[in-house]
Amino acid sequence: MPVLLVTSDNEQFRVEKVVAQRSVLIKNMLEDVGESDQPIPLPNVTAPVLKKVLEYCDHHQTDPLPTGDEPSADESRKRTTDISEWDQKFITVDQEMLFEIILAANYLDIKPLLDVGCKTVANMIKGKSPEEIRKLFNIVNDFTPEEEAQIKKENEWAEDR
Amino acid sequence: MKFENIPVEVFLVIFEFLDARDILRLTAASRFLQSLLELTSTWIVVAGKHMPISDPVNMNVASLRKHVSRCYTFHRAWASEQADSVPTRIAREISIPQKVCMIRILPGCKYVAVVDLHENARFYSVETGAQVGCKVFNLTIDPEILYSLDFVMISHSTALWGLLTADDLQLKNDAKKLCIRAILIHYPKPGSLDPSLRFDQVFEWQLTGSPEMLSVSGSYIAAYSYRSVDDSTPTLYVWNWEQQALIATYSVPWINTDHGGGYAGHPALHITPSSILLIGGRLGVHSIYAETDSESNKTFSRVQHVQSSPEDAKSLRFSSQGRCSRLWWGASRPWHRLLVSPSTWEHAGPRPLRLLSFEVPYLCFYIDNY
Repeated sequence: MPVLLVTSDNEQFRVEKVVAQRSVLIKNMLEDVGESDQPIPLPNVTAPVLKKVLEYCDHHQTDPLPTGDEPSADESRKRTTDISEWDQKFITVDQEMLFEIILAANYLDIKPLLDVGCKTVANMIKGKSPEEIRKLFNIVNDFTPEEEAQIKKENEWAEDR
Repeated sequence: MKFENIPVEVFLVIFEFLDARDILRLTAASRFLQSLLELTSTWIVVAGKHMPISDPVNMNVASLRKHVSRCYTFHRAWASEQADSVPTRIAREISIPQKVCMIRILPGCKYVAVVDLHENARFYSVETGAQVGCKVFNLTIDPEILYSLDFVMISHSTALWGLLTADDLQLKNDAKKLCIRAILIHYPKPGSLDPSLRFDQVFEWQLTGSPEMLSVSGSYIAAYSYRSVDDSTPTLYVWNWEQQALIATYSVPWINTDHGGGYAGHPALHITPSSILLIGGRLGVHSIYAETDSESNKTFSRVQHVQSSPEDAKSLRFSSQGRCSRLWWGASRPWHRLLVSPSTWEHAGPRPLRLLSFEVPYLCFYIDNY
């Protein structure tokens, strides 16, 4: 049975329940309202982002759902920043869209997609200096020179390898 | 959308996929990102089966990468009392002699100090297991017994080592001659082929009393001692080690008998950048002294006296064998850890060690066995 999702910009997406239920938020909503034709409003997600998210959910619709609290799953999740080939291709988007996908995954509670997005950001950060990170993400350096020197000094131990 | 508009909880997920160095570099990019460090109580103490490896914020990054897990898992595992699920890693097991006085993980976590009761301290490399230094105590009272010692990191290349020793041959009712020392330990420079540690004595203070505990921070040395054996109320002494001056003394009552009249154990003294803590005694009485800053003079005032549960008290009766205060995080970090083991252990085999973490001022205790 299809589910009707309505984005913040009032676009409607009719998707298979099995696909929509990759989102824990939607799954819980569906369980709460029971069998219903009522559209599900997603006020925090725009149509272009939801389209990308649904593409991900559709591709992964047969994956086992994460159980969440299993320590082993948690452990293995944090050990690697490897991303599968399909996911990598999927997440090759501009920075704006990448952040939007991450936000949507967080809001919709799609943990595997959130991980893919966060791994991608982590991979972008790895090995870069603070200055390079600022440049990459357009971050304003709002430290005083003294503060910056102090932080650099405090972080010396980590650079000492 | 700006990078810094990403919700904090998402940043914490991103941190999961970064090692310490990258987290530090990221958080050095702006004030907001720096503030995230305050939220990431994400580091866990890494402990081996027989050898604790201390606080990973003080570990080298190579070790961090292999062994650090995040604290929310850690908390959850501890809270659920499922010790087996605590994500610990064994970095290196170092054979610890049975007749040791104290074991300490040096800040920076590259070295372990194993201290004999009378003789000296041997330092081992955590990475190789090899002995990298030996410090024979510079005895000024003869014969002298080490009662307490503590380490704290001063910079990325030096640690301060505080020692409380006492003349042990005085008559029972006499106060002993006590000596408080601070020794700077210099770590080898990065890339140096010589892994040896160097030592400089930087502070010495003699007094009389019946010794209990000593603890050091980057600025202060604190000792808890009875002025004499008959004294019912021990005194807390606080020195500023850079000025080589005694800056405060306080009488701090201590209940050292349990409800059955038996001995309730030594107090453990821990000085942090923000407070002085006394832990242990009957039912784990905790006395906390918080630092207040009045212009140039820092003073300590008693602010809290908490009674722990009897269950916690059982563990607190063990004498402290280690401390991991999080100097690295600065004074605002409230998280501290102790490593404790029984003060007496007659069985063959490695000593059982317990890792005890607590937060100031909440004094939430998380205890686990290793």
